Amino acid sequence: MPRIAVILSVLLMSSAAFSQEEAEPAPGPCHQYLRVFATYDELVNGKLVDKVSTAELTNWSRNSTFEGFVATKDTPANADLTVEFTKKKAKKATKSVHGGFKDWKLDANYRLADLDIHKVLDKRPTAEGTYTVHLHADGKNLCTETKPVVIDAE
Amino acid sequence: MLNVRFFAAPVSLAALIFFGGTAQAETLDLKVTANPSLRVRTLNGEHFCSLRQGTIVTPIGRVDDGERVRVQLTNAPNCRPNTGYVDKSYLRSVQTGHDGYEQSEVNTDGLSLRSSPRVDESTYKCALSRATKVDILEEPRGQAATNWLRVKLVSPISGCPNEGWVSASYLRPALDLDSLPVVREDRRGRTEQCTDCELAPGRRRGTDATADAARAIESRARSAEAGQSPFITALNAIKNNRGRCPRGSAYPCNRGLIQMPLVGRNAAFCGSNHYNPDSPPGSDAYAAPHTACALGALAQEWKKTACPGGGGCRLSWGDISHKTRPRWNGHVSHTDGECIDIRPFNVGEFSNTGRTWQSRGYDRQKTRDFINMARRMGASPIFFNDRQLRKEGRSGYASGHENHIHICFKNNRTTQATCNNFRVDPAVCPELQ
Repeated sequence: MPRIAVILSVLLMSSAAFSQEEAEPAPGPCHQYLRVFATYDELVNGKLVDKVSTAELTNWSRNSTFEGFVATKDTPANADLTVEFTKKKAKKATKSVHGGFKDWKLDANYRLADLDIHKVLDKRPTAEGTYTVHLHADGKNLCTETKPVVIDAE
Repeated sequence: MLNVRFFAAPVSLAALIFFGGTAQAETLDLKVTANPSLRVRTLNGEHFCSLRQGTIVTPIGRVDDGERVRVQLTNAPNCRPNTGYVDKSYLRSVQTGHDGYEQSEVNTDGLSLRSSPRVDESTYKCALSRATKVDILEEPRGQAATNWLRVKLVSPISGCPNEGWVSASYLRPALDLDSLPVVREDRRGRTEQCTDCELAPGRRRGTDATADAARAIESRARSAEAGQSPFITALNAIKNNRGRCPRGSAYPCNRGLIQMPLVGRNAAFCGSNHYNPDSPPGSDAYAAPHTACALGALAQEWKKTACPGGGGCRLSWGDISHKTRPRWNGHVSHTDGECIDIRPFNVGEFSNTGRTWQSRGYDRQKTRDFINMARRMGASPIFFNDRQLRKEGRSGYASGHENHIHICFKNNRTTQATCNNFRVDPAVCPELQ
């Protein structure tokens, strides 16, 4: 009977291992330096209050748009950012925008990328592909990160 | 069974008269390409009949939203009245070229021409640019119909074979529909066409708007006096009016759908958040009465029991259906107010940014709880691509659904029971009171 108990335990443990939920994903390459942000309003104690959210870089689609990029305090003051869009199956980026960073009134912990992301990313994407951010400072590439651009209308 | 079609060049006398007798070298008739049928609606968006694939219609006007065409329904005797509005994306010109084939035009950049009707790297031949003219050689019908067409290039293109297969969704009538007169509705709801006017959507005469606003206020006051939720009363009024919006609805209502209440740009009913709002505000938040009721019940229950303190578990919703346009933003299912897009939840503070099920900070347990609650209240189908939740049988897979949950409240028994049992708690959902 003990042998059966051991076998059953091993089987149960194996089953648990296979059904274990996936571990938290690793942070992206630009995690230390960049975030995306989105503003919104919220009812607080009966009054509408304007707020802002920041988050790690995410894919771009109608259900996950953001308004721009911000740099964390780890980003050098003289950094600049390039954002590119590459259409699916294209070999090169089809659209690109570039800019430095400036003070951000909404949150002093970050600096705002001085570029219009809608020159690269349509609010309602009509073409699938990827967007890539390249962060440079002092002539060096600090980080590059690529995320999908998805058409998610159904 | 494939049907190869050769079209003669029908002469549309009505179209000739309409354009002041100008001789047209090509017909203005259009063919329905939607499979199996295309819905015909009133200007207000109410569906009243359907046209089978292949039905020929004559365009006689256009709506200034750029998406709908007014058509004469001569070949659809079951449609009454004999004019209606259809989505122009599902129409194709039956104009013919010199060799008798139906001719069409590419309406997007980079349309793939393929060697067979299959999306595969091996079938790709070249990309056709916008405005490329093609002759339609073959159009599969019936069970073989898959929205593919076999075409021939009218003019040769370097690097492209002369014939191949393309997706019919990206072909359009080669004629200029913008030359059709704009349709508008007068105060009495009668349509008239004007050739030199610009219609401002939603524009109404001051006296009509004022009278309706007064009726709306009165309606809410009567409901409140009777101890009923004005929102539930407004939903019942639509149901009792055979699915049409009654005059003076307490809540914005159009084509039988009611707008879910918004407090600000994003702040919405029952403490929820409306992300990526369309303009004008609320135009993307129209729900069918049974869906609005169930969604309100779900939002209230969620806030009360699962997320009383707010934070990352706060309900955040996007598109429902459009106020006037059944088809919009590329959606094919957010047409009749029954489906809602909802963001998956995150741990910690609330964030108005998007996330996928693979994002750091994604809260699978809260998302699981929400899907369970929605399903208990009648939601079906539910699409969300979280591999674990799909394995558990809680959601189904649909392309592009990594970052949102698509739920629908159809008019089934469970949804009806949810609605019948829904009592608005003004402390949680004051917007519905």
